Amino acid sequence: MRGRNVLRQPALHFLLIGAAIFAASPSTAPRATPGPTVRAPIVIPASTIAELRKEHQLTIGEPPTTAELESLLAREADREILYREALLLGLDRADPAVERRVIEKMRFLYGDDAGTDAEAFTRGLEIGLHRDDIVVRRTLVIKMRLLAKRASVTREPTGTELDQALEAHLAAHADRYRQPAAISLRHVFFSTERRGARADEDATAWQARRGRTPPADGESLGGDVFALGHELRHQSPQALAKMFGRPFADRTTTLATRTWSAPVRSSYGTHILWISDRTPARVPPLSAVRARVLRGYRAEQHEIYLGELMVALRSLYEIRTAPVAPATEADA
Amino acid sequence: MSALRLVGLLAALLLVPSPHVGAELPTQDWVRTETRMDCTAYEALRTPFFGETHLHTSLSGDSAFVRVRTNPRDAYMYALGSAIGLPPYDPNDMPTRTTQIRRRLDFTAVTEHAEFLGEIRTCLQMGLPGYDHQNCIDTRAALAQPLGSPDDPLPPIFVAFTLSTVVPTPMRLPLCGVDDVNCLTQAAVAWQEIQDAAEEFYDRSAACDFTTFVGYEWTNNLAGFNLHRNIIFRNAEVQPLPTSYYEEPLVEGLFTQLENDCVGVGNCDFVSIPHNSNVSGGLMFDPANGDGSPLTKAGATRRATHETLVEIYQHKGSSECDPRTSPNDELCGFEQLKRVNLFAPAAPDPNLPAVNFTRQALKEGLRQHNLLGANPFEFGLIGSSDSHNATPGGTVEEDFGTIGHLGVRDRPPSNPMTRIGPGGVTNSGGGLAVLYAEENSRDALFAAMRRREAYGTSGTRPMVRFFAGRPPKDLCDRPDFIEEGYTSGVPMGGTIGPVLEKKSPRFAVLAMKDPGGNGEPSTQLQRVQIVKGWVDENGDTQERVYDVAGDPDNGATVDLDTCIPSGTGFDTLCTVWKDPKFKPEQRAFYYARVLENPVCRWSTRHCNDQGIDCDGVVPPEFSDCCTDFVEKSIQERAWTSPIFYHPERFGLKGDIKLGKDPGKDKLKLQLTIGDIPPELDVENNDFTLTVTDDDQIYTATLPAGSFEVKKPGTSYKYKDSDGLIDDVKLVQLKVNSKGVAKIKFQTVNTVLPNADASTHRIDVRLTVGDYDETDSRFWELKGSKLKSQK
Repeated sequence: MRGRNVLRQPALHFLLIGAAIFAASPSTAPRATPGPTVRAPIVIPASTIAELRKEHQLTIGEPPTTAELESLLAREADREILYREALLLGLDRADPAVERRVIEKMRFLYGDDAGTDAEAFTRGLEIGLHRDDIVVRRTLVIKMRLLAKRASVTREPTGTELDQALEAHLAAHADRYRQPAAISLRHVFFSTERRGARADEDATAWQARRGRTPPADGESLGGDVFALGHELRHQSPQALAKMFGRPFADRTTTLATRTWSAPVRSSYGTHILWISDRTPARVPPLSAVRARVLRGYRAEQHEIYLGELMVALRSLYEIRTAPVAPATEADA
Repeated sequence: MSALRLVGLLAALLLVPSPHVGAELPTQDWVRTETRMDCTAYEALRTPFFGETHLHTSLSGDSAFVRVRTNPRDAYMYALGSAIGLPPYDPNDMPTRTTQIRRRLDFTAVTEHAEFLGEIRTCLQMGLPGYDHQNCIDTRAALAQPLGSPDDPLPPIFVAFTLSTVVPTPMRLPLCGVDDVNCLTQAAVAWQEIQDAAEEFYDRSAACDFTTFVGYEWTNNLAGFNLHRNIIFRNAEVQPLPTSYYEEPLVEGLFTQLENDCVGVGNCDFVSIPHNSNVSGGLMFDPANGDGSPLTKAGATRRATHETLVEIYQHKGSSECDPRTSPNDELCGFEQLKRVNLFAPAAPDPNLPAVNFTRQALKEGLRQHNLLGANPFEFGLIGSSDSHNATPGGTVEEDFGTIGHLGVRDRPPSNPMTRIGPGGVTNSGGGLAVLYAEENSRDALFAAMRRREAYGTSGTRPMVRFFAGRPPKDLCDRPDFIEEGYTSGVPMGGTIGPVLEKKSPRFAVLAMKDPGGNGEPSTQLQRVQIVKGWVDENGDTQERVYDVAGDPDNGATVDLDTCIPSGTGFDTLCTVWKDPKFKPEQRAFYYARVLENPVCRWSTRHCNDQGIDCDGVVPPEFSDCCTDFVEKSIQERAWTSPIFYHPERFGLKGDIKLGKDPGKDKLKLQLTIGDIPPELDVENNDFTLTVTDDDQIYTATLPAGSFEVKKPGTSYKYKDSDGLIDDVKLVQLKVNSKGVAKIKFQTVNTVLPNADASTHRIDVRLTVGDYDETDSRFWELKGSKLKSQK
């Protein structure tokens, strides 16, 4: 049977474990049992489609394209699936938010005839007041997602296995954790503002005069005033771009160290650079960034888990969508 | 004669050409209060760090109300360059928009509203006590509804939340339960989440790549006026809970709570940063206590101690100046919010109290200083965004129309063009805070906030240096501009006295254009101005704006249809300026304003993007595309923190004659005090003068009553050719009719063995009763004399 096969899938299995964890006491345990459950087809009526369109128009400012509408419908179906499954798992039971909502609705409908809170709640459920209620629905969908999140953690490895998983995650997303390269430099600045077209010439002349003599500590090298001074230590390309502009920063990465450079242009003029030291970018060891990597790993695992779960659940439902009318001028 | 001195004198005789004497690096004025690695990138000359000190995420009630779902972690990821989601969220809870910063930031403080911090969690986290309360049910129902148009009334529950921060005796909503326990418990959880996120993204490695600060916003909306402050903590030692308007509805109460929790407690320290005085109904910088009682000297000092910075600009407009009160400053029209309070619609030419604006507040502060003996409004200036989208530094003009700062409030595209708040057409992308620090660490950046070495920008990133004091006239021609700026002057945010006696101090300003990057333009500079505020001889405040560099008529402009700029400006501007109207007895401040060439305002780009044609049919919701209600082009700008001129301090000239034989040394000084304060009373107090370098060179104390009173209050003399008291030969104090005082001081021949025969820094300190001031400058060795540098 189809349903039984699905229940063997890891994602759903873990979801059930998650549901068990979620339910604090036996009395509120999920009522779902393995076995055939009748799942009615999901029907998305024309009225829902119109609403989705309207909401898209309201929030985005224009009607959805066909592709966007398809995606909206798919998401609506997913949401309905999560909602239905939540009901099957009994997540609406012992939920103070749902209870409160149903009681409020009963009181609104029947006033004092609604009886005690308990009576009102029971009757409310019987007549399906919790169904198609925007708050209940949203609550349950969020609850299902939370559940999936917790369930995904239950299949997380421990000990050295976890370390290996984190190492792999770090390696796969090295860009996210990489520490930038660093450059230490002295520069002599020839301002375009002050020298106009002569800036390049003056820079070249300076370099010719200087020859190969390295800069001494504290030596004033001449040139023009610069807002950041003339010596910068251990700066990342990012920081250099902030100060001198991106092309200059890129250029520094290709210059030889411990020699006077050819003239380099920045946003402000021409520079002769002496790069004294260069540290390459590197991926830090796991120990230095473990907390961040663990967070990233869990987020990724959660997404994978949720994806598997949705694939499994979608196979349980037949989805019928009302014919989609093409977008008209009136929609806009 | 000491051997050292002999060597020095010989060297001087040989006329060894010294390169420029005396340039020295500024001293680090902070210590590390936390465990972290030292930064490999450490510059004693300090570099500018660009960041954000005002930012909200979904933990703030109003962000949640506009459907923002990102959290402090997302905010830090955004600051570092990651894309984050923006509302509206689709039914699957996926964001329908994403945004990414164009150039990352160096630091960020997430500052959630302290109010509603627990309420929002209580209402959105299932199963929490209070989750079932009607307030929360209403909140969730309101959040589940599509957002209406700006004209629609707000859901009643949002109104109820807001109203609770508007009344003078505020109370939390009933959902918080008995003694507010539900909400305070959850506020503590949210506060922990804020601290955890700050810790996670603070780079404690030697790379010093990014700094986070823990902070919050105290949100006093009294009568709809904005009296908000951001509280920024120095390190991870913070208050157990943020202080909200509910607990402390007066700013003095906020300070008391902060002082109890955070002053003298471990390494805790904080600054308070007010913002949007432009919608404060004159209350933010009203020279009075929050309860209306008059300000005292102690109260003024307390204000200035805690509130070292003020946001001059953010997404709710400029708080610099008002065209009405500054009619001679044609640039005051920049980004006026045009609202009389937070909830009023924007309207043409609103009648706002003058003191709503920081320039007027700075001026009023000078006046209060003269009245009280302390300045409550001696603050520096920064910009920030105040984004409610978890997008710190998301200030770029090109992006604001599509991204905005207020969640779904900025959708659909007609919403940003409305005059109805929050947000709307008079809002903007906000600005940046720039701090001068040796390294990118919490202690270093916090020290910059304390000493006000900071400036604000309207969102772009020009680099600006500003020094005042005695910088040489040719400073702009010298590559050691910065060393010399620090050596012979003070940087932005500092204070000076009459360092050149009765002559104007010199002001050096160096501005370099934003280098741009990643689609952000590198707009050239148009000009640099110095804005002066002062108290005149009648006790009235005055202001004047001077163009000091660049060219206001450079003809640069921007095509409003294509937003392509034309004309040229300047890559760098540099000048040394003197105040032509300087009066040593008049208290004053000076700040630099750096203008870029014009570019399109965000709304102009937005209207163009929406295809609005002002010659055709204009949809009513886009009508302000084609009115002059907001400017079509703007000049992005930077405002430095002011340098404050304190006339009660003194400048001097003097020399120390180094005798050939022991006992033949002589000290001669002439001190000029700009405006002699009442506490400098030589009739009833001891008069103590001390001269030090790394050792004490000389000190003398004349006991109270030593002076001969020539004319009470204006002329005093002490003379003793034998120098019986500490070898003092002559002290003469004369005060002119304007309050400018001259003190002549001479010793008889004496022994000054600690006066090193070399050019070096010497401090001269004068103490009389409560008067205690010091002049610190280089003294040059010339022949056998040490002479104070001009």
